Amino acid sequence: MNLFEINDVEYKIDQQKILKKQNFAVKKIEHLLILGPSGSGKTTLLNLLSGLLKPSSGEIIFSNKKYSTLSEEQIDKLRLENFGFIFQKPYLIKHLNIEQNISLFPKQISKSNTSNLLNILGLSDKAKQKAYGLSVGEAQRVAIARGLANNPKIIFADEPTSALDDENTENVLKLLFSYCKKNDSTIIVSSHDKRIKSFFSRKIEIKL
Amino acid sequence: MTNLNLVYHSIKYRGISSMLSILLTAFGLALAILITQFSNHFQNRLLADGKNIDVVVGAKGSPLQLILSSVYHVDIPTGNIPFKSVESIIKHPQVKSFIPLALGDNWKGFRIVGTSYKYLDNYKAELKEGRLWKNDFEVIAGSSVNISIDEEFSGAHGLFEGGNIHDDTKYKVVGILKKTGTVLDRLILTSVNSVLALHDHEGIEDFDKINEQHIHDDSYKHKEHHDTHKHEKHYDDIHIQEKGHDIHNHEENLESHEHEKYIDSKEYTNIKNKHTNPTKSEITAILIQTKSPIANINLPRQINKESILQAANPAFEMSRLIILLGLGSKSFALLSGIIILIAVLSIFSGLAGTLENRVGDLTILRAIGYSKERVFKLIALEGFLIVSIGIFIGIILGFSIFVFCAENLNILRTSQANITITPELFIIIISVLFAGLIASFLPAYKSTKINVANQLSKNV
Repeated sequence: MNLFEINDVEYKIDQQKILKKQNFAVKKIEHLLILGPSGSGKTTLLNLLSGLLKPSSGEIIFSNKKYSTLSEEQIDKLRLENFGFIFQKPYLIKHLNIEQNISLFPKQISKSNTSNLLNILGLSDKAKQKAYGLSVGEAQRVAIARGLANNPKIIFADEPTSALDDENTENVLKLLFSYCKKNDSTIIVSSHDKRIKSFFSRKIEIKL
Repeated sequence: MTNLNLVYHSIKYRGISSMLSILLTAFGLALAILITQFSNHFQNRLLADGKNIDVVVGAKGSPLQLILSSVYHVDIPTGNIPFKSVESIIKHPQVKSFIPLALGDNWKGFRIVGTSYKYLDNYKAELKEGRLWKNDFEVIAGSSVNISIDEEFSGAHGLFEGGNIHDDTKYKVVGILKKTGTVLDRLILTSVNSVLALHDHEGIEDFDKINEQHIHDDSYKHKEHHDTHKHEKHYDDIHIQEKGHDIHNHEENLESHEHEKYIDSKEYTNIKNKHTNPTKSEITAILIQTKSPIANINLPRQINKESILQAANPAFEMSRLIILLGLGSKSFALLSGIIILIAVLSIFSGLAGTLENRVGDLTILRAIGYSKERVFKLIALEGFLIVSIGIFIGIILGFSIFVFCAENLNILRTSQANITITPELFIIIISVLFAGLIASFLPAYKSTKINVANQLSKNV
């Protein structure tokens, strides 16, 4: 069964094509890697799939729901209940501590889930530390924890390993995949990092 | 994480800016509260103290000074008037009742006022302890006068502290009044003859008897005219007078023996003998209640035209004063409005200014699924909390300053200033709250217009 159906989706800004027409489907529990050079529209495609952008043409269907028929509030709710995000940059709220950054979701995140994630990512001793004092690697790990905190059905990750060394890259990917396996989640990653190619069962390449 | 939690951390993070907005709101509101409290107190006092006083007759001079000195006891009198000159006025057919006032001395700044029992009736004064004065040099003290019953004291010349003390004659406190919330509370009252005797003037017959006689004469005239309506009205007047008189007689009977203890006939004769060459009796002013509103205008006009006396209408003079003072209170109200406006602008600039720096935070909230409505609520809630805390502090600050002033400023302490809760107060508070919310709505609305995908692609 297809979780996502992307039919003739393209995205333009002022008649300039940002993303060329795309046609593909994503199945449940699939591990999809979107590859492509910088500027090819990988992030745009992730934003379209998560409902943060509206396609200029074409249709995106998630769990038999056409995005074009949903209101902005409905898409917000869909995102809140189903999706987890790991962005290229951590985007942490600096005046909150690590634990609070992970618990940003409106619905209650269980303490055990938060402490489990902090433990796995090696941040348990820094739970009360403010986000502005973290190193780049630590901030990225907090961002990953936040992306997984609401037990999402689909994880979108935009260049999640670009700031990490080989060892941490492997650790992060292992964590993501073990999480997906445990929760029957689907993961869609956009990256130009060729080190991670081998971890994915399915790859889509976007060209300029 | 709850909205309140997020907002709390945001306010805490922007500590100085938030505190500035809170304090500006608080100071603006406190000032507005102080202005309304002082204004209410002033107006209440004007109304209470000027009750049933339609015309004041005194020496020529400033009519406002005459009113302020005789009705409100805050100014020096325009002078004294011969009692003979007012005899015809108090018998005027338009005069319903009158109260004589003889001023000249004070005790520790509290004015000693020679008057009649009618003065007490006018403010519905009741004794807290003791009895009314019966003989010369017996006084009763208002509730704010810090003196005890049976205490003896010498009056000082003049109406303010520091005058020559009349060492030769002592007054004795025979009664203390209950709080009336009027000018009586800060006066020491005695008979007119006590004040006259102390200043070598001839005594005058009992004013309450004159008042009563005047009413009897008047009702007789009306009986003759078979004016039923007016007759009933005068019957009421007589009833009021008689009621007051009965009380006094009762007091007299109960306390007459006490008087004997205080001044025996010998002592009294000695005092009288000291004033070997008494001059003609003079009083300071008479307070008149007229029979009709038209008399409030005609009687002063007639007196001013036909006599050496001055008559003034308190309502007219006080409305003139309010207009003059109104300019001052309007300036304060304007100042308070400006401070509140600055506070509102500070809330606006605090929220709108930091919005630029918070776009990244709001973007991430939107990205993980916070709706536009919720982001709007977060910013609006922050403004609401800032203005609410400001209002809370402002109310406490405003009333605390007022209470402090009421307890420590002599003029407010003696006039027994109290906190008054009026609809105007609620209007001010709601207006400040509303203005604060409006100030936070614009940045809140702006925050809903964040282009999430666009912001995520930027280096925020």
